[in-house]
Amino acid sequence: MSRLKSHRIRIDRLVFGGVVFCAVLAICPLIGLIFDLFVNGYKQIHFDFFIQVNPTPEEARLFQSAGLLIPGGILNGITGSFSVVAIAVLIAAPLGILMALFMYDDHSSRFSNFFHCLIVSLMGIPAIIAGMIVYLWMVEPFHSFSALAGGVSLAIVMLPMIIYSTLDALNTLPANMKEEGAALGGTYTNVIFLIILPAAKDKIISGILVAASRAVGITSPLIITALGSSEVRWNVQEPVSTVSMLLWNFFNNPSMVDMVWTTALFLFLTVIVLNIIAKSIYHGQIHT
Amino acid sequence: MKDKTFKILLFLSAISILLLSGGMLYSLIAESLPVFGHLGYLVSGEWFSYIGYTLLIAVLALAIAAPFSISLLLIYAEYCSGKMIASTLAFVMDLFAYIPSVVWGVWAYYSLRPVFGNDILLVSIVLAAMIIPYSVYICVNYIPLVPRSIKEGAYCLGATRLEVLGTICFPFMTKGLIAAGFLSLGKILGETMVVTILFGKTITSVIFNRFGTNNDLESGALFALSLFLILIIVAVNVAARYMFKKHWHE
Amino acid sequence: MDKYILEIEKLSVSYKQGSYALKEISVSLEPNKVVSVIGLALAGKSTLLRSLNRLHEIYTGIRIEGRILFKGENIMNQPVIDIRKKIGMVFQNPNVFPNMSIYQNVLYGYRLNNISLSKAENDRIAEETLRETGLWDDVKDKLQSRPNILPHSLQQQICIARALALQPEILLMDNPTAQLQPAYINVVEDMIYRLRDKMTVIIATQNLSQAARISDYTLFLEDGELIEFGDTSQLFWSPADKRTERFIMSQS
Repeated sequence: MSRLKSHRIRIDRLVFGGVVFCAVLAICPLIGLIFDLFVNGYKQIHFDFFIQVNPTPEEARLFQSAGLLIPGGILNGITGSFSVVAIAVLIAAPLGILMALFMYDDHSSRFSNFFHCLIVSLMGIPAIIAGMIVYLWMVEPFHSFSALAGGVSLAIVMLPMIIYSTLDALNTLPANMKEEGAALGGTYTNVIFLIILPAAKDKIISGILVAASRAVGITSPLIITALGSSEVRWNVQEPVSTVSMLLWNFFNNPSMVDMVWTTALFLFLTVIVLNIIAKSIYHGQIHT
Repeated sequence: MKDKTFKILLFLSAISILLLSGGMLYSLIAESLPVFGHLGYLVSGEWFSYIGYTLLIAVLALAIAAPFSISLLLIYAEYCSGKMIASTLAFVMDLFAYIPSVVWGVWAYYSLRPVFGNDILLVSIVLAAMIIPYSVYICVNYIPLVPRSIKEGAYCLGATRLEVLGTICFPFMTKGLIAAGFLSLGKILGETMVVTILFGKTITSVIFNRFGTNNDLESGALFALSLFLILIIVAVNVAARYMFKKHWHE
Repeated sequence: MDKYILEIEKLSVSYKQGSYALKEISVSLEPNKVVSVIGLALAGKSTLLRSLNRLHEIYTGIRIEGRILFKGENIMNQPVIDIRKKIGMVFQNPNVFPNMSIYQNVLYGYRLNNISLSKAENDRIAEETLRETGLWDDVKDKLQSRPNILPHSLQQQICIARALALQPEILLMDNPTAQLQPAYINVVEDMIYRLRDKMTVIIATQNLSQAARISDYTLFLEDGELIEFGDTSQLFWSPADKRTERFIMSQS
């Protein structure tokens, strides 16, 4: 009996060891990524990185072969990312919150099932396809690539995320809140704006920030909607480059390897910082 | 604001979402029409291979990721449940999950590509690494974990941790694990940048690389492929959420 | 003043097609009395209370038949927000609004109704209602803090104060003391007893001794039907209906 028992215990320990091994292995890519980003990316970090626009391939080749640091920076990308993501948030956040409020309202189950299915379907749409659609609707008819088009494609990607996280924020409020507000004589509108939304606002804002952090890293749809630009542009009707797009551009150029690493590091840190800010507003997990 | 105005506003937002979805579907179908007359073109080797590669890589990535995700899930939920390790793990996973795919792709290209010969294997591994945090997150948040009382009952009878897991927890969680797998599959299928940088022959890569072509037939094929991809992703997502809904009510 | 402040005529409520939570309830209530509604869980006590301030309307799919007259007027003919100002409600769970101060919580009824009063008025109302619920001494120097610093039982009293601040003519209370500690139950019951001077109180309760202690009239519901309604002491000591008797016996 005891031999059998210790056999079982041994197997248990073996499997436990295997599980721990797998778990540690799973984290290795992340550690490798961060390590490489810092080790390779520090080279191009200098003040100019943030205040100059991206260098041309010729410049890069010149400086690289001379063993010097590549000049220039990603300023046009930073401003571009900012405008494109800002446009996306301005479109997706109000629409998403309203839609979540609509779904939060009491509906017959078939109705609400339908909308849930719809949102779930929208969530799965790959970013590149959203870009294709925006190209068809906005770029082709007007023959212009623009930050606006880029922002709309990001908005399409962010929208289902924001709807879902806002809906989750609303649904996890105490069920009686609506009733309390109603019992005090509040109109539906007042109960929503004066009680429900203020109580859920931390989660909602956090959800929007998390969605924005994802949007910052999106590349593919922007290439076909915002095209790209080497200048700092604030006119949203003109093409623009985001940091993610610049990263892709640098990658395609063999002499800009150093810029690739530094830009990747920058992008990585931006996303992390946005997420930390989101977490500081709401400490739990956001469901997207 | 008056109640009526607000309710109309809400209704309008719902209508606009409907119009958006319908419009997207319509545009995709309309643009892929040119190719439906020449279905032979589509089924020819080239395009077919893209579909094949996409599915192959997705399934491979999922298969590679599965043991790691499950291990992490077990550590979080069972072995170290409630301890500090579990919450740091959750924190790290969260961090992991939002790293832009371009960053993954670029890093893998420079750091991992020289090591691996085979592109397909490399891409699957990187995709697996990317999907692990997402799948763990889904499992942790959506699979209702086994009630403590049942587990305690088994432990009292002298079962080892492994036995409790195998005989009690797993059957309980299987449906949830499958649904999580579906959702992860959907995410992998939609991934563009990593596969483009490392491999370049999946549906999303092809769309990304060749979009804007003047060739009507080719353009139609791109749209048809995207329709196909969306259909699979939507089917997989809806099935997964449906499974979760039923699971929740249990 | 009319003889009856509330007249309920054949009130029926159904949540699902075909099954009724309340079946043709008819009863008339005099003003300035405390009426307790007793019965098993799911007997329809909450449903009855929520019909009186039209709370069911915030949900879809609930059918209501019959008439409810408040001071002679059908409550369906008046704007619902006016009804809810005159017929207030206290719930079982203390639902303080978490992201505003105690002071703001108590006065929120006015804010919700877009009624702005002077600071002096606000202070006066806050102090009066908090004194009424016996909270004043505990919170008078913490008015600007969040209510979650208070223990559960005191939070419930904030909710009561909040309902009272609107000076309703009828106060509906749905199991208000179910989650309170015994010491606080006494405070609330004393308060209810005193409130009779100013308003009518209808309190649904699982606690029969509470009903016997504080109410003038008692209403017994079983399976959605009104079994008996009458003077409290009479209903408890010599119930007219066998079912009432059985219920009271089973709970003692």
